[in-house]
Amino acid sequence: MVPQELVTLFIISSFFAAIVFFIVYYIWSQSKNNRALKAKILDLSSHGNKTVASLWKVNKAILSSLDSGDISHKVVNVVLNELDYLKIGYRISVLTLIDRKKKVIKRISFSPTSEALEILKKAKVEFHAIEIPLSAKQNLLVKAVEHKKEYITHDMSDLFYPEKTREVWRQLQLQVGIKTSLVYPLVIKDKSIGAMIFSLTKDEQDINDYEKSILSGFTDAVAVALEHANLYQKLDEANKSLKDLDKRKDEFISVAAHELRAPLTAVKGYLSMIFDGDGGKVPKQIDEYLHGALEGAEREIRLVNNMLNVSRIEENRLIYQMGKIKLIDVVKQAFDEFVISAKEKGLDFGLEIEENIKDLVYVDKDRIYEVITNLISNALKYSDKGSIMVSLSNPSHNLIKFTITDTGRGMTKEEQQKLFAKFYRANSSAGTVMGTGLGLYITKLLIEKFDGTIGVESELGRGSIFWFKLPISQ
Amino acid sequence: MDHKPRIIIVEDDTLLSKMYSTKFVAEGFDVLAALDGEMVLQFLHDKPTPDFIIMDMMMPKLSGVQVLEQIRNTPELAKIPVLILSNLQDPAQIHKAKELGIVEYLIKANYTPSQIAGFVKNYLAKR
Repeated sequence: MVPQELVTLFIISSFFAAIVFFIVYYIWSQSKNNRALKAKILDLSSHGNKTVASLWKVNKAILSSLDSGDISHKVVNVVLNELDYLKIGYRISVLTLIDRKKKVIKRISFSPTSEALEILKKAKVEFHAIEIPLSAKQNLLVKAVEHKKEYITHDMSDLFYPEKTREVWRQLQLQVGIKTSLVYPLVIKDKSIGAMIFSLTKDEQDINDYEKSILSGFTDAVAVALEHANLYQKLDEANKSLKDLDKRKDEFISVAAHELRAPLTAVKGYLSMIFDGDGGKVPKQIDEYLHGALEGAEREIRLVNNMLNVSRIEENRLIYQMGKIKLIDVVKQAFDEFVISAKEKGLDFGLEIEENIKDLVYVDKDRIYEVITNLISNALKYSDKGSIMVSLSNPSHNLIKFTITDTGRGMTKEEQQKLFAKFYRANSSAGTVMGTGLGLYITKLLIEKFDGTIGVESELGRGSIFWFKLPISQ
Repeated sequence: MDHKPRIIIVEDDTLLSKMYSTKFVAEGFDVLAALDGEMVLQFLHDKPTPDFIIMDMMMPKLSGVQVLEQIRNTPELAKIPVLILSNLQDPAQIHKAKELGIVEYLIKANYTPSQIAGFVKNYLAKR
């Protein structure tokens, strides 16, 4: 017989052992749970980081392009190759887009994996010829774009119906080992533009949330990229047609100017022959009338020339013969041209050039000559008495200033502000002096083209000072 | 020059053609007026070689540049001085004409017949 004490001792020690075991087990199991939890947290956060990294990679790959053809080919390869989804059972990636006009969903591009190629070959269909009518409501692509929702299927024929029979696709699916297919709609601004298909060799339950979130983010990026490309293409087309229109307008202006000039040339030419005495002596009165006619013809020619020049300068089509020239030479030449007419009007006409002046400028010689003659002829036109002084100076070491001061009619402050605008003519002059209202506008455009500035100071009834400054060329 | 200076004026606008012809005849030139690009080539083929050609740019059948190309590519005509007298002011066309070799490119509207006659006489006298 076992003594009573021994039994009691055994029971008590067993009890303690059980307690110790339980405590040990409890501690051990707790730490195991912790580790699992820790691992899970780590796993999730690394997935989170991976998601961001992957999406960034995807965005970078497809959003960098604006060519829709290029994007179409990139997107079907990104998931399989860039993200290495081939390794986790993804075998086929297809891009489809809606053709709203034809009311069909068209297959656009696919990743050329052996599975994809085999299916196409055995089904004897041309990839781009597969068109799913939007009315085929059983088709999963149609469902996805209509409900803007992703779908999953184990039956590949859901993606092809009503192309061929369902049996054909089911057989092919078995042959290449496709088990699951995912369909993601491509949605932009709440409107479906197509869908992407991913076919896998694994079962639905083996697809984890991480993969799904990547695919969802990816297809969103694809939709944006395609929309960008589409907008860019539209913009490009609009731009091209605008350029074409612009070119035709230029041609029209050029031809119109040519045609307008021809009859004027005849008028001017014949009149000049009369004045040259080619037809004998002309009585004084007739000579005067004919000079009136000539003035009209010349003004018309100037007008056509100015219109042509304005459009050329504004559109940057004027070709400038730029070169380093001495401004003094041009100013002297222009000045000389007006000496006689100034004398005829009884005006004091003088030229003042600062001593040791630096006058080398980088301009188009003919154009700057045009600018200077325009300013002098304006001063002459608007001055009936007094003087006109032309001067050149260096207001600073790197600038040369041309100034023309007249004692003519002058202008109000308001008029001065609008003076350089297109077609503007000062009120105090309109009606008495003929002009096109383009002269000062062109002058300003040209001076600015040569990196200079132009301005006016004037007082009504007392005269005007027109000036321009140009940088000195080294 | 032992003969009257011979000039061909190529101008499709009859009003202008008549005007320039009148002026050059009055200035002592032997004038042939061609009304288009083909006509001038015909003249160059049939008639004595001219001393000078004044030609427009925009003309029916052959443009000024096309005629100029043919003249410059025909050895016996290549050296005839050509003055382009046109109201066309297209920089590209001007550049093309200058490349093919011309005396000058003048804008018709900016010159009177006597200025042009003076220009031609001056040029021929200097040669």
